[in-house]
Amino acid sequence: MLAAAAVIASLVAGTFVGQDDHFPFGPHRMFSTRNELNGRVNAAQLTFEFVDGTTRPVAIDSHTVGLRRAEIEGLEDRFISRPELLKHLALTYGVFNPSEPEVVGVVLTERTTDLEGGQPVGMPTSRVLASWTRP
Amino acid sequence: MSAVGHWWFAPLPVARIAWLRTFFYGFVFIDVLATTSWVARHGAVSGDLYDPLFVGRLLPLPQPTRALVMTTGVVLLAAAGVAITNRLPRLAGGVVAVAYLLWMVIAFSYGKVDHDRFAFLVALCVLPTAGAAHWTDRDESEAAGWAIRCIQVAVVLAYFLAAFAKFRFGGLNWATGATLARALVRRGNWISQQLFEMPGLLRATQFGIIAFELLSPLLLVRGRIGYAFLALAVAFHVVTFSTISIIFLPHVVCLLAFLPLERLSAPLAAFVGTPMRDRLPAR
Repeated sequence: MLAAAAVIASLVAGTFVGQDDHFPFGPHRMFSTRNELNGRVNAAQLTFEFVDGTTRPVAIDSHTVGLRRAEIEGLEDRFISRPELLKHLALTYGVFNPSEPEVVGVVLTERTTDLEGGQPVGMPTSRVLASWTRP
Repeated sequence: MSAVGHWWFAPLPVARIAWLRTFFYGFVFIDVLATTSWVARHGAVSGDLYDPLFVGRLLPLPQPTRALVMTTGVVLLAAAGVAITNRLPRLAGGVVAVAYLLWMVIAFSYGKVDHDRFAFLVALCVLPTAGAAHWTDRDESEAAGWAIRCIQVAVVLAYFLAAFAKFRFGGLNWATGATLARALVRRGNWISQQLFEMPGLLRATQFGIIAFELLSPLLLVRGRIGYAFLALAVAFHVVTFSTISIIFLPHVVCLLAFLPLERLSAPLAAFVGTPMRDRLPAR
């Protein structure tokens, strides 16, 4: 009974003052932020430059760079302050895709879709957050 | 004993514990090898991108390497393989609980925490405490009752407190925003494209989600009301999956704790030709 009470107290405390960091007692905040009806929706995108000179967008998931899109977005501040960290995504891509040409450049962009009345309008726009090129 | 204590410790069928172990430890294999197999790939990610959780810093847990991730996964699956059979329930189940918690720290220490694990972690922690259990046991026990109630309460708390997380982070007017529209833009499929045509429906759904979460304690009501709410919960997860491809699968598995799984026992006993067992003297 005491154990159950302690777990419940931790979870309730986590809900009201905790953060994701306090897993498993953090707040269950999936989809808890409120988006404005006339706001915008952001999503991260990655573009790789290969050693053969080609450049193309690469889907962000654990099979390509070892991390999911929401994880890349959670680490965005780190990539912005230390763009050289993007090289790790290129290295991991090489591990999981050994038959592909080597990655020599990485660009992390944020794609923004505008909403009007809760519906997407117009074409999404892109903004570069961080980039890395092999020296 | 207080009314809450009386409810929490009321004896429940031991066989239900045996079935829950089979389903939950079985799900560990599905979780690790299929539905969240991305966790294992964190072993290939640079330590420079490691962003440890509070529990990882507190203990402190080592930074995941390929070998550490592999070892944790192998230990977890080996222990789950024993526990699924209801053998060594305390030892094997205890190892599963610790290894799964470590697995979750590896999962969520790279910039994103998922919120579908709380009830499942509680289940893995309490299932070993119920002790010996067999699918054909006919007895009830207080230990089984306590463990099953813990899982049920964890499921309800996960829903109920999620409403307050929305009020805290999104504001009391969360339901009037465009949160679902955002989810559809980011993760939508062909079904969700049709939903954009009906923004009123999206907002009504958001009010429905808040109402559903605040009413979730109804899951604990016996009989028709509880089962009706259980069906509603399953429907909620099916709709979520079909529109934004997100399913809180470990949490959904925990809904099994609300079902009279012990009714599977008689058909099983008849099928394999063993009699149902009375471990305790008949009362």
